[in-house]
Amino acid sequence: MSIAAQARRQLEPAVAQLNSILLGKDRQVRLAVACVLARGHLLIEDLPGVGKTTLAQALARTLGLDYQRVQFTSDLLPADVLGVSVYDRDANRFEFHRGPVFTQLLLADEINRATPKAQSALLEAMEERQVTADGRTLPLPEPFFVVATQNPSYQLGTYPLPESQLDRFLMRIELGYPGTALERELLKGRDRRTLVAGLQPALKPDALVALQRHVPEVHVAEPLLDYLQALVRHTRESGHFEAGLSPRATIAWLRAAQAWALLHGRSGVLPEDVQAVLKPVAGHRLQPREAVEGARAPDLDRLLLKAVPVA
Amino acid sequence: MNALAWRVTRWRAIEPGFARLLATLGALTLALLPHVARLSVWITAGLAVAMAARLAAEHRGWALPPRWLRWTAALAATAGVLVSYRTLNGLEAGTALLAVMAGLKLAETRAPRDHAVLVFIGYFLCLAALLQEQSFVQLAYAVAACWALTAALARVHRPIEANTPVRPFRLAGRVLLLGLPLAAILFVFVPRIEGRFWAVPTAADRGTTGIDEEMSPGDVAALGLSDDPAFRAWFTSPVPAPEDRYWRMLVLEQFDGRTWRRARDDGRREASLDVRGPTIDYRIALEPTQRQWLPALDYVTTWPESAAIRTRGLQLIRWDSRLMEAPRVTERFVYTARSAPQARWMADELPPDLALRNLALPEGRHPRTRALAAELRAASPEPREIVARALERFRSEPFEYVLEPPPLGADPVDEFLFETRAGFCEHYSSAFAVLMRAAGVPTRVVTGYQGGESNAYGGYLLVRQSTAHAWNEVWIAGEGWVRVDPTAAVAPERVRRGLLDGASVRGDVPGELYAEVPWLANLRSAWDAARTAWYDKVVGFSGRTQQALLERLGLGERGWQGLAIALAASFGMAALLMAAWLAWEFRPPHRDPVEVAWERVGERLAALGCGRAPHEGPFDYARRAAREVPAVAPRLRDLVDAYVGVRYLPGGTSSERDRFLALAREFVARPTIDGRRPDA
Repeated sequence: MSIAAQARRQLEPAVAQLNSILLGKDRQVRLAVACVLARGHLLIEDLPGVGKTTLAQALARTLGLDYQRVQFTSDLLPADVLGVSVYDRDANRFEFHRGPVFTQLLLADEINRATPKAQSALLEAMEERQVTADGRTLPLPEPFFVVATQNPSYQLGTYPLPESQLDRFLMRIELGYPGTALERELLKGRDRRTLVAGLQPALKPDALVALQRHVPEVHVAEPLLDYLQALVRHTRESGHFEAGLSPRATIAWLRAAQAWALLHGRSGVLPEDVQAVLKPVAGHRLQPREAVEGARAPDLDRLLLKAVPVA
Repeated sequence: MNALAWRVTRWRAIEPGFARLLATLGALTLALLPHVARLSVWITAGLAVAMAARLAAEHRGWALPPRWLRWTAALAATAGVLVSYRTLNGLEAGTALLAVMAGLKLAETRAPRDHAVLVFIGYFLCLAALLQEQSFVQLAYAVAACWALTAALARVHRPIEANTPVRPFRLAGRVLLLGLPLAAILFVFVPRIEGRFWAVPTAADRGTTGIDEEMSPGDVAALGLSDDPAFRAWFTSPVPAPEDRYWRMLVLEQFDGRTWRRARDDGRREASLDVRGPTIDYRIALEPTQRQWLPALDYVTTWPESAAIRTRGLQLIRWDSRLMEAPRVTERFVYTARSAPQARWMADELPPDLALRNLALPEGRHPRTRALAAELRAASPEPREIVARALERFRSEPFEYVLEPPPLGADPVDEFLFETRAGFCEHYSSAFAVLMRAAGVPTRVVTGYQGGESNAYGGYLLVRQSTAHAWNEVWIAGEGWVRVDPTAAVAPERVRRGLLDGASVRGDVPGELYAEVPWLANLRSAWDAARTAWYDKVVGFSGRTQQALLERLGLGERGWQGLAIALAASFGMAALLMAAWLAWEFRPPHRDPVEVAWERVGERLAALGCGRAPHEGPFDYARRAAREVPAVAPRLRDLVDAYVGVRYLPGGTSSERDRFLALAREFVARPTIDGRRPDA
């Protein structure tokens, strides 16, 4: 059995378990898993109460990861996230108390309610995968995965993340309201929190790390790179967007597509994989030029996907 | 690097309209420069002022002069040209008029169209410069100027942001290069009108060069030595030895005691040439001399052949092979000739009037010379003896070959022979002729050139103005006119090896530097050979050479029809070449057969009503096709798996490729398994 097929066999139960908690959100669940596989961080943007926290918790339990949650508020300080040095009178020295960031899955709830200062403390840690305090550099655990949730920026009391910070998130997804039938099932079923608490890990942490390591090895054919580059070139040259995708974003896109392919048991990336992750990867990085007031995401289907032929 | 960047930013800082004007004026100046020496000073000055004023106006945003002022200026300038040149016709006046009009046009240059007019004036000025002179240095300069002009034209007609300092030049260069093959074809095959059809009268005040019609030794204090080429000669037979290279031009027979002159009737007497011995065939390319005489070796037996002579109906006048006369040589003149060095000339009898003329001396002059002649004659009356003794005297007495001899007084012959004893060829030939005539031997003076350096690169002899020479011919019964060179008796090296090695040359000799630095001399030879080849092959490409080329192409007997055929054929060939080049330039990119096969599959499915959208990935497409055209589903599933396998998945082997290609072919032929029409 190929490594890809093996990966799929390992991951399918996890996806199935997540789907049993979040009803009708198969695509979002898979994107979240792919995001973990690609060692990226996930930004969930949606209204309160559609299951953002549930997804994060279910993900942590299913993948067998330590879980911490930080509720971001406007008075949150960097030390509240990273940790703080406290004077220990007996030992006559400062002791560093690790903050909630020292975990494997961190849920940063309502990240855009915090001040930019607190936001950037977390985002630095996400990028570097380490925390520097009192001149000491402390590595964060492996794997390290941040799920941040964000209220739509038109809500009151928010500090929208600037583009440079958005770039730290590999994907941004939206959950959306459930369909009528599924909502009925939700209403009839047991409390989701209880269900989540009862979940057993479907994957061992070292298996997850092995899968993460394999993502960059997923085969990428020349025609696929042609296609990806054509897409990126289009974002830069078509004039539809304020700014094109950066090389870092291009690499992120490729990783996400590789993770998507692996999740589906493919040993190579297909144009479909690139397209599947296009919106979550590029949506928060591209600003349409003819932005309409209130429009949150560009019509990437029309502006990008359908404008570039598959190679 | 910094300096360059600085300059580039400076250029960017220049206002674009100003930059355009600067480029156009710069190119126009290049086109004007070759004419500056010939233009009246007021025109050059006026142009400089006009250019400066126009640039200032552009920079400061001044208004251009009103219409009435422009008209007045135009009339005044035209009148000025008329006054300066006394005509508006001809090359010089025409060029002046063009230059003046360019200056006036500046006063109304605003739109790109005005720039274009200036540029076209520039093209005409380049053409006019080539009419004046056709050296390849001039051509290279004209091409460079045309390049700048074309670049200026490109700069004016391109959007401002498309222009960098260099880009228009690149475009113009490409345009010129593309035009090159067509120019070459037109050059070779457009029918030639013999002579210079533009034959624009040029100013007649050009100095004459070369051999004079008169010779007065003693009047000239110094021999005017010029290093310029007089002519070049190509030999089809062996090249004569240096001491036999006597290029005769004029025969001087009448002497008044001071000056030698031509006889009135020369060129109009019958020849009596007894041709014997080997002959020499050669071709001479004579530089313009503004005189009628053509140089030739002793003694010409055949009428010179020249395309110019033949076609222009020029009358060649010759008389007993001693002289060739043509209309004034105002441009490079090429002719062929045949000479017989050992021919005998009037061997049996000298007509009495000629005998008289070649014995005549002015009454009562040169007493000491006459005394010496009597002395010589007394020793032996035999002419041969007399000549030998006279030459012996030159050799034994302290005669000197000098380039700057002391001036001679009332009796130049006596003074030279008995007092100064220093002079160059004119002194020797003159004194010798007087001495011989006094001794009763018919003698005359011949002027021309002696010598010639062979050019290894071009395979020709180059004869320079500095080798102008004068020698004598004495008539001896039974042998005819015999060449005697008294200068050779005094300075044999002068004759054998050229001026530079003359035994006792005093004074500055041109070309001395070259003689001392061999590689420099080599370089000069190569340069001369290149120039000569240019004139010979390009400028001298005439109707005759064209005809010869046609004959080689097998179209010789068709005349102008042959030219038309050749022209059409080469245009066709050029068009084909260009088409081939364009096809290559715009060839479709090399495509992977796998990609092409997948495209065929898409086309086949499109025919069934389910075309592939350009952005559709293989699986997405296959799924949709299977849904919309269910009959193709079974085959399509295998096919798309094979396609994805070879195109996107790792380790696509060549056998897998072949399998996919086979599947694709099969699918295109029969998309369904049972062969039914899927839509039926």
